[in-house]
Amino acid sequence: MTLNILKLDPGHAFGRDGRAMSADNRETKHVSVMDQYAFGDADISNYNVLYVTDFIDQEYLYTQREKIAAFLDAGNIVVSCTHIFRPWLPNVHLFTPKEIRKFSDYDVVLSEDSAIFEGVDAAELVSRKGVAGFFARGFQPVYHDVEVHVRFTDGTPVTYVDRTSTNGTMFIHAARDILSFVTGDNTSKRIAPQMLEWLKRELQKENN
Amino acid sequence: MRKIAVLYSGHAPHYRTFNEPKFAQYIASLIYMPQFEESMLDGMDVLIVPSQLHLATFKAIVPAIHRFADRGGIVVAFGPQPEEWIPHQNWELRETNFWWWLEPNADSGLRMVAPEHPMFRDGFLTEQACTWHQHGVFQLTAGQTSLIDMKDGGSLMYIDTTSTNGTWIVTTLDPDFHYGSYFMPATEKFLDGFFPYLASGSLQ
Repeated sequence: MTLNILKLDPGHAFGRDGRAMSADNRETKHVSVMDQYAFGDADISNYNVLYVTDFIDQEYLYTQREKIAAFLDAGNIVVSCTHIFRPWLPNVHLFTPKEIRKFSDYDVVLSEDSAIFEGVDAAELVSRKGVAGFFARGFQPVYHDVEVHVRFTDGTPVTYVDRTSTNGTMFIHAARDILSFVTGDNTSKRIAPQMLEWLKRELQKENN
Repeated sequence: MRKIAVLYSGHAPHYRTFNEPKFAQYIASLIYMPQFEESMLDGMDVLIVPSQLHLATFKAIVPAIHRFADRGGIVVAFGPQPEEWIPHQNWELRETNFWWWLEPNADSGLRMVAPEHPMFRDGFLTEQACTWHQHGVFQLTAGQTSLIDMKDGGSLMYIDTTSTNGTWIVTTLDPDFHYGSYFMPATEKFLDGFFPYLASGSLQ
């Protein structure tokens, strides 16, 4: 099965500028880009991954929650890279900021079983030039069985996969666009290609 | 107290910033941009146009914003401006200076050229509260008065009372995004002072 990612474009200035800190909204081999407000009327049957990033209009996504739930129930994947404040995904709890008393409270632990974060140094994700806090500042709490890929040192999950709440798969990442980790001079650039390979394997699982 | 309206994009940083009670207390109307109608500005004194809006939706309401200014309204613009919509706008995108403070003899580049302006004179904002990084500058024309300059030229924040019947307060700073992203404490200091200034400060 071919990986066909539908990435919704929030249409904001950082996206226009192509700044490194923004979601990169360029089309690639596996990624098609659609304006976020075109989603409601769009035929999405050709896609198997719906991908949203941190400037997405969640008030709008909430109006589209039934379409999103149906997409999941068809066995597809939703990737969410934002702080979720509206329940536009099934069984996802709303973003909670991490309590930060000292810089090390930003530290994260990467699951040794995660193919997405394999070979990545957690310290290089969290800190740049000695400044902490670049990766995650909070989490979506979980109260059910999920596969955690990244957690804070107190155990709260930053990045997890939910295979049980729907017939599809939800990748919930309480931080910035995970496919933006593609450049740079450290191990974090392993993430984007490994994420794409992970998505391909997930689709194979769904269709076996 | 001036009545303040804010355009709201529906994204997570804006949700946090404009629902934080200490800022929300100053917001008379939080206008979800896809549902904008010009009548929503009736009775408002200030309209804040935050950064990182859906630009195609925003462009459609720019004429209504200009009519608001022409009725004497105060328009506030935050952040980078890739679209031309501010009177006599001359935006210059620059490489963002994220790391100036790690350099030897660190200089943020800010030059406080109007310390007598009520925004600063009356204690609403300080240089420190306006200091994080910049995404670019505005080059000004006659009638636009810089409040904060950048050392390499251009303005970080200016006020324009001549292009329309109203007042434009324009800054390249984007505290709405950073505070809402739980990153960069100075942006909270900025908003702590700027909302009260808009509500009750003297314009000049």
